[in-house]
Amino acid sequence: MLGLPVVLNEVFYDPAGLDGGFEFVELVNRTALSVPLAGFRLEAGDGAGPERWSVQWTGAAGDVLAPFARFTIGEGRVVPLPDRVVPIELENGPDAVRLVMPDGATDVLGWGTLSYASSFEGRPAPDVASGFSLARAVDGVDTDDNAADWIALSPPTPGAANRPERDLALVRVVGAVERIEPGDPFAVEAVIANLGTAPLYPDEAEARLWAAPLADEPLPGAGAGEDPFVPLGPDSLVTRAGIDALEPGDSTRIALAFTPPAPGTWRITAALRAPEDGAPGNDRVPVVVQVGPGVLLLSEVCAAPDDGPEWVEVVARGNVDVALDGWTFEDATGRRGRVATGGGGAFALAPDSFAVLTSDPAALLARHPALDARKVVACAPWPSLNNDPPSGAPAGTPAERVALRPPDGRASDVLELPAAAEARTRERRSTARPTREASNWGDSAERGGSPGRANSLAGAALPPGVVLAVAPSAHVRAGAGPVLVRWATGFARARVTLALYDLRGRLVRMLVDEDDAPGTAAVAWDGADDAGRAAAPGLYVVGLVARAPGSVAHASARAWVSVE
Amino acid sequence: MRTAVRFSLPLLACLLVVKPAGAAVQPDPGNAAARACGLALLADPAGPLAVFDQAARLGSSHVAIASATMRPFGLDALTRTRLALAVRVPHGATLALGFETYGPETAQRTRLVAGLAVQRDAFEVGAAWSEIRRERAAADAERAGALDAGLAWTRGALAGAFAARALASGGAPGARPDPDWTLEFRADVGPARIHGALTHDLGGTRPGGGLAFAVGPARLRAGAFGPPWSGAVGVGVGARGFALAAVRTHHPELGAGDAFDAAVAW
Repeated sequence: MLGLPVVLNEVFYDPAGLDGGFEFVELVNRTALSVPLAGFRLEAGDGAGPERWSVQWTGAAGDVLAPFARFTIGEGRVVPLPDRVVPIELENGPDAVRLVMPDGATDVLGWGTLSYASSFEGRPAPDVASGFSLARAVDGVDTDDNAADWIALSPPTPGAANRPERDLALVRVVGAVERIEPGDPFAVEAVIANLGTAPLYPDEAEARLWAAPLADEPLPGAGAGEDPFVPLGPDSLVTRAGIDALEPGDSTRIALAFTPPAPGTWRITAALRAPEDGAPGNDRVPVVVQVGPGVLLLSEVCAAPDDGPEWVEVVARGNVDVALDGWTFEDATGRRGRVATGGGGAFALAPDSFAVLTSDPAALLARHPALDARKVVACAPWPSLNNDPPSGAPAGTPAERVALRPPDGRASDVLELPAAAEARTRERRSTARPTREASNWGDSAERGGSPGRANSLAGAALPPGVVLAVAPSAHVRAGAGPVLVRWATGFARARVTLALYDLRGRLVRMLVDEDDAPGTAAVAWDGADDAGRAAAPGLYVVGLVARAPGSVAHASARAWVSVE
Repeated sequence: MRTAVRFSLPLLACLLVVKPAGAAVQPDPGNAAARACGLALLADPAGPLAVFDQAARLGSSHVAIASATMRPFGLDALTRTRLALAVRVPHGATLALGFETYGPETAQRTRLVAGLAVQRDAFEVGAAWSEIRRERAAADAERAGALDAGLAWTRGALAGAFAARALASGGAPGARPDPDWTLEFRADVGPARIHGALTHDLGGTRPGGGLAFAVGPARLRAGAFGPPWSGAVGVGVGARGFALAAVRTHHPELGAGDAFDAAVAW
């Protein structure tokens, strides 16, 4: 009702989760005079019938509301603690609450679909989602139209202004990734909104990035809901950017970037510095970023087995054993399989050794009899892997994205998979190279893959300089499987041509012809020519030519292969 | 002419009835001068080294000894080494023996060859038999045999030749060389000698050609063959029964290779 000295200002009737203990109603004094609340009644309605009100609280003789102040009536778990702690029973569905003055005047708030005019003013306010409160759009302003006067507010603000004069909010960060490589920038866009009633003037406020390295091990005994990350030092201010003028209700985006100086896990927090901000709770968004590889890496992924279950091979890196219990393997939908090593206790993976995760260890061992059963670990529920990108997706869309996470949830390794080749696994070439480099991965040279042992595309380190080598031997025997042609050019990336020629210099098989190939890599040759025919017995020459991009520098090498 | 017909008809008959073995690729025929002139075998001087590629041109010296090395694409492991001896025998014939080896030790091929050539009027005809041994890394060596034949004709400033290698072969398939043939011509125009050749094997036919200029006792040569087209430049010197030749070839992707010959005759 217009002209009342005290009105309802915020009502929180549907806390997230269980309602018990968090509901509250906030009153506001709209005058410059103290108002005694003795005889004031707070009543809850019942949408099932007219004029059904139940008293929730009655003002006592000592209850006084100071000029322009707020008075909170609520339950015991509200923070900060209400001025009066009482049990409150407000319905989540269509319902109403009203404040009755000693002289009989009332201020009514109804929400949801209500049939009785006495349950709301003008039009009912919307029924808000769980976790939101109903709050006056402008503190204390009452036009006798609940729909116009009240808005959904999150988080609720008991005892504080619903919409402070100054409230710059960091709504979200866009582009944050869980994993970057050493030397790469962590770059995000901060979406910033002026939720206050006053305009923001240029350079009044700043967007900032704070960063702190985290310990490799989570906080011992961290329970659910606790932050398990232990910073190794205080947060450092690493980036700052001024914010332009922003009218109330407007938003803007600010690009922020920071290159972590060392590998490991970092907590990077996007934050706002806004003087006299009335709602500092919405000014920070922390992100945990893995810089470089974690302690466990993806080594081989079998998404399209010819027989048996899907599986993924992981390899431990670093200098310590990795306990696999509680690790999870996740697909693009977020479905996670948890490693369960059985009743035998912790399964510790020694450095540089492999473990194979699968949903059905027995079936996998039947498909790969030579696989050491001690390396096979059950993982359930298994996140079934996609073999192809979604139909109609643009070219280059990955078929699947998989992540390997320790129990604390950070990303130890993340890999995007292209369309899977039938009966070929996706193999990592080197654990020393980043996972995200497409050239560090290739289809396995061995049908069915190499679970639990060195990948067919991996090999011993090449000596320095320009190298072209054929492994395991330059002698290719029919039916013995492909050989691996490995090269090192001294360039990080180059235009690479790698081909097989006969002794007369005629092209037999083009193995690599790429404008932007890795300077060091390998490719399998299956003993066939470009037409798919088996090469005749004899001597052949492998020729490598690499040209550095944008430069005349080039490298070349030749090696021989004997087909027997 | 009757002599030519008498020798060439059986040679052509062999070409028609022999089926390729589908066997191992062997290096191009020819020594340093031939490689410098687009694989034209007539550019190589007649002599004992011809027993490996053009059995008709064994020369007419009383005795001749020659050696040749070729290092294709700069790969030492693939170096081909040849050593040959030729002796004139009665009835206008020349007998030659040669030994060739190429390839890395664990996949090496050796070839022992004996050839006989006869000269009648403007024609030379010859045939050679090769015994081939191929080493293997993980198994016993393989053996094979192959028959080569050649025909050459010279009249004044013009010459032509046909050479067929592995016309017939037998033994282990992995050791049998590819059959191939070379058809060529040569013409002398002033100080220049023009060569043209077609070389054919299981991989197809490749043309080649080149020029040679005589400058005193020296000959400067340049040519090309392909595809893929490889260029070559060479130099040779010969006098009083002594000859040397060298060539450098360049493959567009595999780079440079070289070859050297030396021969002495009396």
